[in-house]
Amino acid sequence: MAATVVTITSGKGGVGKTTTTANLAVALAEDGFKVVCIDGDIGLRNLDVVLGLENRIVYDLVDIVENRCRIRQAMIRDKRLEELYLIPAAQTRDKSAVSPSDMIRVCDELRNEVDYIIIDSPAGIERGFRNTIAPADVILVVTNPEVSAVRDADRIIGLVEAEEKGPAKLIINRVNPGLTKRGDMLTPEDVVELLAIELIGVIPDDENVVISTNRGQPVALDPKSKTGQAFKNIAKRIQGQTVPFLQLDDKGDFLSRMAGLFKQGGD
Amino acid sequence: MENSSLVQIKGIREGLLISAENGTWDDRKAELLIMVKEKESFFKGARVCLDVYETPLRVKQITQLRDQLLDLDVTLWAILSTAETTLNNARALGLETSLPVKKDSKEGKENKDSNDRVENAAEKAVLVNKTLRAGYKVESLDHVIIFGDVNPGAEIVSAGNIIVWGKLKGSAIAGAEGNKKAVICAMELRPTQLRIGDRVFPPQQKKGKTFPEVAYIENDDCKIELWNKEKGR
Repeated sequence: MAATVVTITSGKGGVGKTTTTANLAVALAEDGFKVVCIDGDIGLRNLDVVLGLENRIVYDLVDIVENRCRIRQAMIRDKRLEELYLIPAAQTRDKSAVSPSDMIRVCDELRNEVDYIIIDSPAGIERGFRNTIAPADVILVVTNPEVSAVRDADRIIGLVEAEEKGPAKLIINRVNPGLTKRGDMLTPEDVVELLAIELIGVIPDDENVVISTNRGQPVALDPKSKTGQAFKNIAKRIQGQTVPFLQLDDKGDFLSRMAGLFKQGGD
Repeated sequence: MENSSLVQIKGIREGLLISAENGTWDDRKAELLIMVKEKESFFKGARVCLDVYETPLRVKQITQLRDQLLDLDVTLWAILSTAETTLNNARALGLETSLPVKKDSKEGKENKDSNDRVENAAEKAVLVNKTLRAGYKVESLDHVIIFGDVNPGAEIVSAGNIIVWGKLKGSAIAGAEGNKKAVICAMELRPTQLRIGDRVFPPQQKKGKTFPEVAYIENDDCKIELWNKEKGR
């Protein structure tokens, strides 16, 4: 086995890097692959919370790098999926505790044991960002259909190109079909036109993501969730399969909005 | 500081300036790394600027050195060079390519060089063969030609003309040294900001399809008009 290292990055904070990392890891593990996620956001860890593994952390990435434990010892196995592991970030240190070559070393050691290594990048373009893209084979840039997020994504794509790690692939998160239809939000087409890189996924805006994140249960675990399906499709595309993009049309959206209205009225 | 054959170090206001003019790149790099390792406590946490003179460096060579220095807790923040390739690659990686204050005699000479070049500005042009993404800046005393788009957040500064064979959505400053005869043209002109000399163009509101346009200054007025070859522009 030779693992593929996938790094999820964005530039701007709060666009959904960690959520995407967690859900892609879950989706790939559900497809039967052995997956390790690494939280690259040292000092501000939260991938453990999103995956619901917070209370099981003993060792972290910095412990591995500083030889206080073996990689195996820091890998927390998910209870829901057999082959999903997390290497958490340290909470009490900062980004300078790890260097790009440390990350390459850790990933190289894991490469023969797993199928996919998914790395969650911190916001920004400094040390933490460089740490996480150094070992990457595939780089996924997450953005929202907002001008500020797209601007930062553009910068990140440029930096990835400059590091000769490109071309990056694009995930557009939190697309609201109602707003785009009315022309109040950039459409996925607008975003792709500006950024001019391959689109690998479009994720609808979904309040269930917030709920599932708070519960530590990624939406990809829910077989009925459309958003979960969108993440599963990205996982399939990473494996090299061709999957048509979900129709985020108004119909389903209208129904769910109506359902929402009835719910409010009933309360 | 101790001088060795290939690598010299001196302290400057911004940190350390390392000059490495001679020898193969691998030799210079090896010597620099050995020097840093030997004086670990001196270099720990240092910010260094590297002057490679005319050596053209590829991206991989720069990133390798930067990461190896980082492992030793040394930050490479700037690269000085007279080679355009090196400067472009360093800029693309977000490194500085000049020192903020130019005081010593060597820098003075450079300034004189650049003045000489302004007079010849009509002859030369820099061709950038890709799309400029946000955060990328092209600065030149020559004309600038972009074969691609200029995205919002990208910037072009030229002492001469600017030609964009694509969409200009970022900022463009032509005639930056005061030449009001400079022009800016693009296949699609939707800039964040447009300047010629010291004149800032008023913001444009454009909707729908756009055509190739040219921006220029006439009688101290900012003008933008459709490309028209009969005018000879």
